[in-house]
Amino acid sequence: MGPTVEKQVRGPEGFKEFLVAGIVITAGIASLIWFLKAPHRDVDNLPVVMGHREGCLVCHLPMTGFSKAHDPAAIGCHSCHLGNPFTMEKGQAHEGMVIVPGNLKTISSTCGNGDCHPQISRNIQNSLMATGRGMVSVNRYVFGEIDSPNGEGHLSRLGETPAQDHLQKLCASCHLAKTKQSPDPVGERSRGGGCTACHINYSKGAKAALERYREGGEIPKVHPALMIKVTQGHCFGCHSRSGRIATNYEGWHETMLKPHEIKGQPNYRLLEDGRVFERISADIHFDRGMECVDCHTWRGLMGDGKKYYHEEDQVEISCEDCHRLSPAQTISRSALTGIDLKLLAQRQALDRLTRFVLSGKSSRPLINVSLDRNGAIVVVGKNSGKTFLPKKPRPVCSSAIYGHERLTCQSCHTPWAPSCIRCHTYYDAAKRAEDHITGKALKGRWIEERGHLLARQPALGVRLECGREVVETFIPGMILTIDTGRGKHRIFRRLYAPTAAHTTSAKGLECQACHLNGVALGLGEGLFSIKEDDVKQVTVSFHPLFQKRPEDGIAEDAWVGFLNEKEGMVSTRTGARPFDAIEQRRVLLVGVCLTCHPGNERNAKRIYKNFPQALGRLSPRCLVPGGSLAVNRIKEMEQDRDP
Amino acid sequence: MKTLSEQFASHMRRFFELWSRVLPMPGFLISACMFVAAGSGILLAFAYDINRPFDSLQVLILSNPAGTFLRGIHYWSAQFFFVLVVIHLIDQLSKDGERELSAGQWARLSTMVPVTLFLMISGYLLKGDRSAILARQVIEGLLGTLPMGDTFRFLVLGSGEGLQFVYSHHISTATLIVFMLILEHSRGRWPEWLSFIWILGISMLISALKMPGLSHEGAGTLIKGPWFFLGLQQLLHWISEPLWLVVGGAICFGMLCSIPLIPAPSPKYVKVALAVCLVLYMGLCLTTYAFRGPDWEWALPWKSR
Amino acid sequence: MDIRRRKILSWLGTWLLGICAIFFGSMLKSRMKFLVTQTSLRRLPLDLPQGISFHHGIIVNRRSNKYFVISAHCTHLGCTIDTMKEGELLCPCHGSRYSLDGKVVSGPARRNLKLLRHRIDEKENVLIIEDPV
Repeated sequence: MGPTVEKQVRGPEGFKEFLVAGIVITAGIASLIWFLKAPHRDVDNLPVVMGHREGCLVCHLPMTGFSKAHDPAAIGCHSCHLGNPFTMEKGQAHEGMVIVPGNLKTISSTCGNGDCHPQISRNIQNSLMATGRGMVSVNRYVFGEIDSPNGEGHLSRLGETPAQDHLQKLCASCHLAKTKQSPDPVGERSRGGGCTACHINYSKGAKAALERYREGGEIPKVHPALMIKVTQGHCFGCHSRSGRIATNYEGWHETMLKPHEIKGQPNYRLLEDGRVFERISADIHFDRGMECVDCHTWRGLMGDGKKYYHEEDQVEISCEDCHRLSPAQTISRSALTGIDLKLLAQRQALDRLTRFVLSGKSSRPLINVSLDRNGAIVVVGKNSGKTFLPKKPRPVCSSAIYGHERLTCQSCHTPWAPSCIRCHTYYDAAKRAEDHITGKALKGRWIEERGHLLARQPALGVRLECGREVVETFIPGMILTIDTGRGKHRIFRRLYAPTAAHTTSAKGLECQACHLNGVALGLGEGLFSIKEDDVKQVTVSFHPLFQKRPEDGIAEDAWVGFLNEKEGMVSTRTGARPFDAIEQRRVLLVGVCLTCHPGNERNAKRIYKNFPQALGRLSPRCLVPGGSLAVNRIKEMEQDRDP
Repeated sequence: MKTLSEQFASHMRRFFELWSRVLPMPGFLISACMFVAAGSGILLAFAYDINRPFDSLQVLILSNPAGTFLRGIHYWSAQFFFVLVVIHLIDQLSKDGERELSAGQWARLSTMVPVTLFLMISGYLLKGDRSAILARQVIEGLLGTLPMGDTFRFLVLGSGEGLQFVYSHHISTATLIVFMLILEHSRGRWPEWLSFIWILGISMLISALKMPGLSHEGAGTLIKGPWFFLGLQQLLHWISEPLWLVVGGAICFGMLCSIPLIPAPSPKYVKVALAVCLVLYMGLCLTTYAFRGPDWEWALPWKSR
Repeated sequence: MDIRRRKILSWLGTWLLGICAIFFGSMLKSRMKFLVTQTSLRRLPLDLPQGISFHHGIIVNRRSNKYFVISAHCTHLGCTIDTMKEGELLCPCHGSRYSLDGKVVSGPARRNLKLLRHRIDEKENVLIIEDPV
């Protein structure tokens, strides 16, 4: 069984084996010495973070500039930047590394990892700033692709329909889910980057270090701070577009001027992207030194995990939370939980607050709004620590004047809002355009031709809020023609969009500003003429300033025709509409009276507080509204509508 | 069937002829691997701390380039050891080498396959990182499906989460068994010195290019096990009852052991069956390695981040 | 024939030794109780994030002030689940998916994740998980 026994080895063979054994033993001893004596890197000062040590720090220490919570001594580098911390070989260490950890694509394994910020990272993926859900569905609604402006959509995952293609090539870069490719300070032109879009703060040192590195210098030793401090500058870049609330807030209105046209002129501002803005008037909150985050809450910005279709649904604050007469509901510090508590721990400026006012809309705490000893509201600047004492609403706001029950604060306190009219959007298949998501060049380009950019009072209209009708400010969201280049017909739309213009004035508008103003009524700019006939009856007519559009016979900038109604697609929100014929008549009826009895007249209160009563007691000197404004006529119309 | 198996055998013969022109025979290389792995293992044991396995490896890797290199040599020589054992087995089976051994000897030598597997896996577990912890849980789960599973589990892995048992088996029990088997099989012959050079050289070369990594205690929606386990991992993803796989593995091993006991011409069929299993398994390992992405979704490797 | 019997005997002998070792081992286990580590109660602070959080072997699903506690060990082979993807718990080993309340969504696992008994100690502000994990 088995092969024969080997010959006994002798002579040169034996010597060879002896030699091999010698070499092996020597090599073994040599490697042991090498292993024990080779120059060791000093890793004793490498912190043990979350159960492991990181080789990254051997090269990247010292690294300063971090906020306390994100100090690598506490969380290392890998927690945010991934890569391979368990090697000292550069190539392998940097494999799979993430340069901008905040990008929403990767946050489940970076910022949202394990014990760090899992909840908010999940919330934000669902939030409107990340998805632009409302923007996508409104756009598709406008293009006639879907039947409702409320629907799913995600700016990072756009489909191939014309509406989505339009977004992809013109607008989609303004959302948090856009991947930021390189680490740059947040400025007017930065877009996307998820968490980093708002939470990264470059110190001078960090900026200089990055610049030096880009010019071929040493690796940066100063890191930008990742922190809770979200300044107005963080919001400005993206929010200076579309509704332009960031520029509105600071009092700037976009013009069609070119940069060279305003050289040396005061009251103009040139943004980094070349757009020229003129000074109108800033929001009172801005004038008083409040920043975006002083009103806006983490839930309203990053989402509370629920899916909302539009920003007004996600935002949880309202004017009345701070400007109120009734006592506010509050919650004590000890009753706070979760993220609210974590945020407070980070915001030293709020340390002195013990009770927190609850938002009227969501019943959740506003962590910088509290009460003073007398029960009056106190707002503390989250970044600045400044104290703000919101004024209580004036009696005219709180004690209802007849017919004003549905009005929101904004309808009287919004002196201006940017309004665009006469736009034309068309598709040029021969040209190329940049994909706003990936930066690649795509076939086909959308071209927007702009008509007018006006800074004017917004129109008033009716919107549904929690099933209740409220009067709200609207701007011409889209009065435009669209030529998709696919199919033959041009689409014409006349849609107004509800707006929170962020141009709040301390003083409310005068009565006439709405009651005898075509713009406020949604009729567009123009003049009313009030004619009196022989029997002291007056009739009102309206002469629009802008030309009528051939598609629907209404002035270019209007929402609805004079004493007309408009049905079907009228707004970018379901349930929103311009004033109907009755509402217009009622507003104008007051407008007629205002011509003789302005709001500042001594007996104005007596007249307008209970207007129907006043109508019944007209003095013989009063003109009697007739024609379409005749009181009987209006009553008949009302009865016809609500049998 | 007959022609197919004969064709396969003749192809294998040609392959090993070519092999022998360039490389020392697999048997010698196996012995050489054994010595290289054991030698580097001894050195590593100086730095390895059973009470803080993960940390001690990190310190070794980050502080001592020589240690990192040594770990690479240990890892790669062990991989070669395993691969060569399989190759040697194919070589011998294709030329009916089992006939030259007694049935007992063959059965003992067959245990080389599971023992080597155990050495490899225990080495993997000793890393103590996240993938190692998960791998341990899988092995505990697999052993638990067996009758007397608790006993097996205790004998192999000990109780709790400590690595004492695994370490002891890795450096002594299994190593000793492999040494004895090699000693018996080679009848005390030393491998050719050229085999050492080959194994050391290749292990050093690959170590310099690619170090075996550690995995991080972080999120990951798919943790892949060691390469030779990927096929099993894929099968476990598909099959809800792990016992089938344990039984399947046992049947394959049983077939291997009992080849000399089977009267001719049946061994041929058994060998073909084993070869088919091996090819399928390797294919499975490869697909899992290349085409399984995050969340266990199929993914194209060139499309991943 | 004689050779064949010897073959079988030596083969059997090899294996008999192995089986003996296993029985010896099982005896050993009962004698070596000191090697078996004990499990104890787990305590988690009450201030957990809303929704799902992972705690080394335990998954807590918090909805306002209600805590839903399940074992993180996959019922397939016992891997620790520590990731959530698109509203599902995902086992990193073999891809079993569970809903957030531990029900199997897709295989290979067949049984739901184990519910863990727990109570809230308001005095110490901790969540005490009573089942050994």
